[in-house]
Formats: sequence, C-alpha cells, structure tokens
Amino acid sequence: MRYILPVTLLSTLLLLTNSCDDDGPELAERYEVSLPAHFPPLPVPEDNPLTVDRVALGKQLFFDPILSKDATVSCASCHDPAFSFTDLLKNSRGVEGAVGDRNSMPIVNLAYANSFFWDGSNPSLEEQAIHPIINPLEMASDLADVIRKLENHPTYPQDFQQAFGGPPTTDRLVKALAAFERTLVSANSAYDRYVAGDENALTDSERRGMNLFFNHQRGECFHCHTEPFFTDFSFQNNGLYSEYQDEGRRRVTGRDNDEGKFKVPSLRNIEYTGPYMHDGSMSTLEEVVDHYAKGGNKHRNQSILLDNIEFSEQEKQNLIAFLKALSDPAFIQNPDFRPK
Amino acid sequence: MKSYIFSGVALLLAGMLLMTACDRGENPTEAGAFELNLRPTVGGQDFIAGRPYQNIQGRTYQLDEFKMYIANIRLVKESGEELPLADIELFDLVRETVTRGVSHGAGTFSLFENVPAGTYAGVKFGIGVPENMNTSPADYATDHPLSVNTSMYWSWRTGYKFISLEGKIDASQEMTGAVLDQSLVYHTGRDSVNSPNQIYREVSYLRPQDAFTIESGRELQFIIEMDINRFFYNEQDTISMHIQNFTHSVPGEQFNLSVEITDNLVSGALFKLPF
Repeated sequence: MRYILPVTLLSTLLLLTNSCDDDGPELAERYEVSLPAHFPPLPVPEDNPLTVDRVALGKQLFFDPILSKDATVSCASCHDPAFSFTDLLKNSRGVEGAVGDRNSMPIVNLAYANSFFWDGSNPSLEEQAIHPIINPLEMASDLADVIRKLENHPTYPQDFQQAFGGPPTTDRLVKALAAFERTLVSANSAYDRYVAGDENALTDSERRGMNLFFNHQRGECFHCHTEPFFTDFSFQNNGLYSEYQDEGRRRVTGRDNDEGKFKVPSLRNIEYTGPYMHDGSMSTLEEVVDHYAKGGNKHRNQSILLDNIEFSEQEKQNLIAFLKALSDPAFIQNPDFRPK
Repeated sequence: MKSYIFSGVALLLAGMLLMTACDRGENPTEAGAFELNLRPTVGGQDFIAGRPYQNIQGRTYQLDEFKMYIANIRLVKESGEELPLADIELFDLVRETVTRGVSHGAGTFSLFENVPAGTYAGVKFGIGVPENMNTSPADYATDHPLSVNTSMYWSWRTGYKFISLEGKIDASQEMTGAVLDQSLVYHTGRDSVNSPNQIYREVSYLRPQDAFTIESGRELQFIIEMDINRFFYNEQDTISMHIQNFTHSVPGEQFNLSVEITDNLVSGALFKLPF
C-alpha cells in the first residue's frame, strides 16, 4: 500500500514524457539499425519513430501490389532488392505498361538524404512515398481507393493498429513505408572494411582506383560523390548533354542555372544498379568513366569541376575496380530487406 | 515511511521538470537578441550570384557558389569574459541560408535570441573549421553544419573545406567579357593534415572604449561586410584570378593561395555595429 504514491507518480511521469510525441504507441519496441563508426547517427523524425511494427508493416506494403490501381505493380517492381532496389531498365514500367520518364533510383542509405527524386522535388521519405502511388506512369492509384483497400484487407487493419494505434490512413501508410526504407542501410562493402582498418580488404587495383577517385588533381570524383555515402546529396549538371530534354532541377526551382542538374546519386552498389544516369542512357561503367574523362558535353550549367582527364586503360580499369569495391552483397541478399 | 515520501516528492519534481522540458522557447526576463550578418559585396554593392563583375585587373568573372564557415562565435564582456553563442555555422551566401544545427530560414544572418542583457565590449569568431571539429561527417547529424549534406566535406584524409568559391572568368587576351571561358575553383581548408591553425583564422572585433549594450526587446545587428574583389589583392600582391584559378589547398602552391585568399578576406572585411 505504501508504494502506491510513487507508482502513481511514476505512471503520471511516463504519460508526461509521452505527451511530447505526436502519434502511435510509445512503448513499442524500437528497431535497431546497426551502423559502422564511419556513418553518422541515423536520422529519424520525431513524429515517426523507428519501431519493429512500423518497419514490418512498411516492408509488407513495399512488396504488395495492393498499392497500385490494378494490383500489378508494387514499390519493389521498380525497386528490387536484388539490384540494390532498382530495376535493370532504362525507364521503369508502371501499370498497364506505362513507361516512366526517368531511371529508377536505388534506395540505399536514404535515411540520410535531405531531398528525394532525381530533381529533389520532395523533402522527406514520408512525403515522397505518396508520389509513385498516385503517379499515372507508376501505380496510378487514387489514395482514397488505396486506403479503402487496406481497410478491407484481412490483416492490414490489425497491422496498422499494432504499428500506429489506429486504422489505415494516408499518413500512416507513408510513415510505414518510410520507416522500412529508413532501415535500408548499406555499409558493408570492401571499402567499408578497408576504412574500418582491414588493409587487405582492397586489392592493389582497387586501391589504385581509390587513390585516383580521391585525387584532388585528376579523378576528383569524391567532390560530389563524397564518402561515406558517395554522394553529397547536391544537384549537379554533369554535362551529359549539351541540350537537355529533361530540365531536371529547374522543374522544381524555375531557375535557369538549375537546367540539366540532377541529384548526385550514391555510388554504393553501382555494380548492381545499371543502366546509369537520370535517363538510363549509359549501360556500362566503362561508358560512364569515359564520359567523365572526356569532361562532359559542355552544357552552360555543367559543373566546373568536370574537365578533360587523360586516363590510361589501366587507370580506367582501376577506377572501375574501386567502384565495384563499393558493392555490398550482404545488402542485396539481406532477408530483412526481402519479402517473406 | 520518510523515504517513501521523499521518493514521491522526488518523482513529482522530476515530473515537473519533464513537463517544463516540453515547453520550449521560454525567455529569461532580461535578454535581448544578437544577429550576426554576413554581407558579401563587390564595389560597395550587394553581391549577386551569377552576375558578371570586374576584378581589379579588369577581367569579367562571376561566382555561382560562395559558402563559408564561421566558428566559435562569442560575445566579449567588459571584463574580458567570453559568452559563447555557437560552435559553428555554415553561411551559404548564394542560397542565403545558414545551417546551424537547427535549420534556419532564408537570409544570410544568424540570430541569437535570449542573449543576457548587458554591456559588451566586442565580438570574436573564427573563419573556417577549428581543428577539434575538422573530423568527419560520421560525427555529425545530417542537419548539422558539418554534415555530409552541405557539400563542404572533402574526405577523411583532407577534412572540410572552410570557404568554397566557384565561378567562371574571362581568360581571353582581349578581355571583352563576352565569354567566361575559365573555371574558378577556390576551396580553402585542410588544417587537420597540416600543422594546426595555419589557415583557420580567429577574428576579434573589440571596442572597449565604445562598448555596446544588448537589452530586452532589441535586436543588435553585427555585420561583416566582405568585398569579394578584395579577396584577390593586398598591399603586396594581386592574385591573377584567370591564371591562379584553382585551389583545393593541396600543400604547396595551392595551400599558399588558399592562405592568401583567407588573409585577404579577413584583412579586408569591415565590421559594423549599427547601434
């Protein structure tokens, strides 16, 4: 009996601590993402804590074609874990054979990104999740329809209840998808092992390629493809064309000096994510390296860091060997990232 | 029995503390605001990115990128005691944003609210990244000024850029300014791999005879005005931008160029306290 007062106060206190948060069961089990020492802490928004239930629900939704108009296309149709969450297509395919206008982007370490899509038109993992669902060239759904289908599904209502303490809503749908995507961390490549201190993790050729990659006078790749994510998340015009059909970042900002600028993609798992560039116009890494060695096609907005570089054949091979040392086979095989 | 009462009271107090933790932005009674403002200019006019300007050699150039770190910002009390305001902030003078750990709205200024009211004799700050912070983005959250998202990190071997200036210049003999055919890339930085504090610069603006006050309900603006042309000359030397058009601060000539640009920036800057 004498313990009642402290216990009552303790529960009040727990309630008070929870009142700072917005949504969902507060004592849910947290999902732990293991990170190497050379990665920053995983950013998780306050209103969407990473819980085991949210991640599990997000994963189920990610692989479920229920989100598309005719139940034929899921997120995973264009973002297949086997290819580091891309497809092998130049342009991705949506419902009824619709052809998308850009190359599918890998979903790797996106918890750290501060904008999404090739033109950065979206600011958060949660918000971006809506767009493929309603885009007529992708899943072509109506959001109200999607929520109705989820409400009438035999298990989803219970899963949403478990993860969020309520029935399916658009907000909870995108939060679940974002929670799953936030766990897709790739940090176990040969390069990562090298950084962690294993000097034998890279071959001689990979090491030479790495030195070229990080060279301030010649390779310069690291300026935009900055470690540890091998992107600095900026927008650059890489001189792919002298005239662009796709205006890129200008579509978002309306500024002429953003024409032909696209998000710098991560190079992690690049071995698995071809074809390359925003329009999938290059099939091989050899073509990509040749493009940069040539110094681009001199668009007026082209990054001033791109210039003609004389690479020997051996140097090109070394550079490509290093790019492949950014591959993380454990990531593409991770059962946590694949459907049950 | 006493001990249970004690634990109850302690929990109650803890609860009250937690409640107040949710209540953000409480003002101490006697506090004012201090604003650190960076104003890049060319020839006395506000600098505009992408606009053509002439350097003192008469060559036309434009800048499309201008970012710099301001670190260890503090106010100096009349006693000499220092009041730290921020460890590091990144000023993007093209996009007009300041990254300060908590994202900040548009404007090339940084506002400190709740500065204790009182009389102050000066402002101190550093230009660049102090050695103890020049580590790696692994140490910083993604909204931090030193996060990888700011495009100011080179690599684990070379640390952070301190100042980033990028643009183009007319390098032609005729100097008509019709075509800006030469790129300009000035990335200063690197103390972590050279001896400490070769390029990080401490700046003191002290005026003990003319102390200024910060008081409740008032916002005191401190303006650092920097003429961009002035980055490229001093009493002894003029940097020919069309020839010395590039530095990544690699030890040697490039590093020396970075030091000269930094020193020119510091010696040419004007500090203004409007009040």
